[in-house]
Amino acid sequence: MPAEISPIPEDRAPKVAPTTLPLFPLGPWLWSSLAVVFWSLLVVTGLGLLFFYQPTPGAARESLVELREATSFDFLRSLHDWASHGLVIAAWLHLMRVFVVGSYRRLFGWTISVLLVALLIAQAWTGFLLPRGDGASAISLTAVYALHVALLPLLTVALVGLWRRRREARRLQPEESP
Amino acid sequence: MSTGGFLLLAWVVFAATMGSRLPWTRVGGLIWLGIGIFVGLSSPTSGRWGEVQAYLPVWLFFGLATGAFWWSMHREQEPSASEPSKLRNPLQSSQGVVSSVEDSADARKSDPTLEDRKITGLWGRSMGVCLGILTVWVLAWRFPPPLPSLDPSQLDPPASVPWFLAGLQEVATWTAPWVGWILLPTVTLVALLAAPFIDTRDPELNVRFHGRSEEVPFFFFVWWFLGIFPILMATWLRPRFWLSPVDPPTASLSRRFWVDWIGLPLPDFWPARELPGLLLLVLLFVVIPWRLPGWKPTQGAFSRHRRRLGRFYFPTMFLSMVLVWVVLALLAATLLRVGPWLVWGAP
Repeated sequence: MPAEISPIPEDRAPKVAPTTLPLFPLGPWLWSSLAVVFWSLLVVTGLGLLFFYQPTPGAARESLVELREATSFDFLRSLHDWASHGLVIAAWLHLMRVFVVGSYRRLFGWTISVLLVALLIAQAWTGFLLPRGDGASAISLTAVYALHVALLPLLTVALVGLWRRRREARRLQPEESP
Repeated sequence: MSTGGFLLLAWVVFAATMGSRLPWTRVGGLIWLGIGIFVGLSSPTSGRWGEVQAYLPVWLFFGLATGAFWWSMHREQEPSASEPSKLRNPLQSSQGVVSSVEDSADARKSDPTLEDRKITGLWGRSMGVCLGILTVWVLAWRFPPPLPSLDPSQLDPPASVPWFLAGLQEVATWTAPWVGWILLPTVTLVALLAAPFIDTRDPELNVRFHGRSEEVPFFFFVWWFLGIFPILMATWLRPRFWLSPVDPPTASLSRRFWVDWIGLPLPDFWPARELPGLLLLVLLFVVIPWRLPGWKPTQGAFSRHRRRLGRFYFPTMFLSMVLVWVVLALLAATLLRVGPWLVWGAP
């Protein structure tokens, strides 16, 4: 038993709090689960918005005005907007949690986490720019649109896939004999 | 009850029910969370309902970040439900390093509540996720985001950048665009990615706050003053202090040095012209990190730091110095901006 081989005197032994319930803000899965849920919500609402948004200067904002005034799907835009705030917050808190508990010393997971947060911020930023695209040139707006709906989400999926693949591979590895 | 009150109550109940006891650490966390939200709701902009959509995420972020960190600071060695096998029966050295014990059978024997804790962990996490979705759903229903204005005069922050980039914009306003938009994000990203190379202790060791007397204060310093404070400045204070009597720093060090102090015209040869700036950079990023381990007041902490980091000492100190000087410059700029209004009154 580890307690028997502990070199620490009794009075200096760690005080493990006699709690029966953990603290979830620092649990390993709360913020990342929330981030995944918010991201999925963003994909679903974003797919809905694809039917209404027009990525051309002069029509970008107008298409959203039409969505609000002529259809009953403005809730999609609202949910998309608020979920993006939630995603940024959850992603940052996840990164903070990893730092706080010292898990950043696992190089692969930490690198993926940092890159994912950077990617998610880039997605939120490009999403912020899209309704404001009227003043931009057509090519800039198209580039931002392509980044937002295709390239950045694909990269996100690829990074998460890479992380999962590595995790599964490590899980399937035979344990070292003592 | 208002929507905000409802959500606040839901989160407070969630947080309060997560513990079987109420130690001062958790109460402290809740108080901080409450203060964050109270200050947010009582801020000068909160009364303007049209702008709630722009400011509420900032306050949610601020409140959650404050609460979570205050909590974690006073967490002692409480094990998490999802990693119980690594934290049960911890062996703690005097530096606060907790060794991991992988034998979950032993852990289960010594902790009969382990299975309960796992179940509770899953339940709490699910509840947290549900609350997150509920929060976003209610906010989306109650506060549909306004469409961006066509009026260019309405494009002042935070309307011109999303709230989470407003801090960078604040830094860019008070330093130079390339500092705020390129240097600072790059340094932050590199510093974050470099963390596993700087702290090379065994990943299986659970080194918590108690074992990191140097990193944690530095992290908090940079996090709060570079991460949170500029966002608050840009969203809460900027609308009030946007028309500052103090112009952004446009002073030229080279002009001050050569023309005002030496009495010569500005040299055409750029290395000579920029000599004062280059010397200042050498002082800030080379001389100070090099002298800190030898200087008496800082000898203790920094010589240990240097020994521990070895060849990573100078790259680490370079990154740290960039962050520290940007933070200090930002604080000085803020004081210059807000100070006159505080002394002479807002317009």
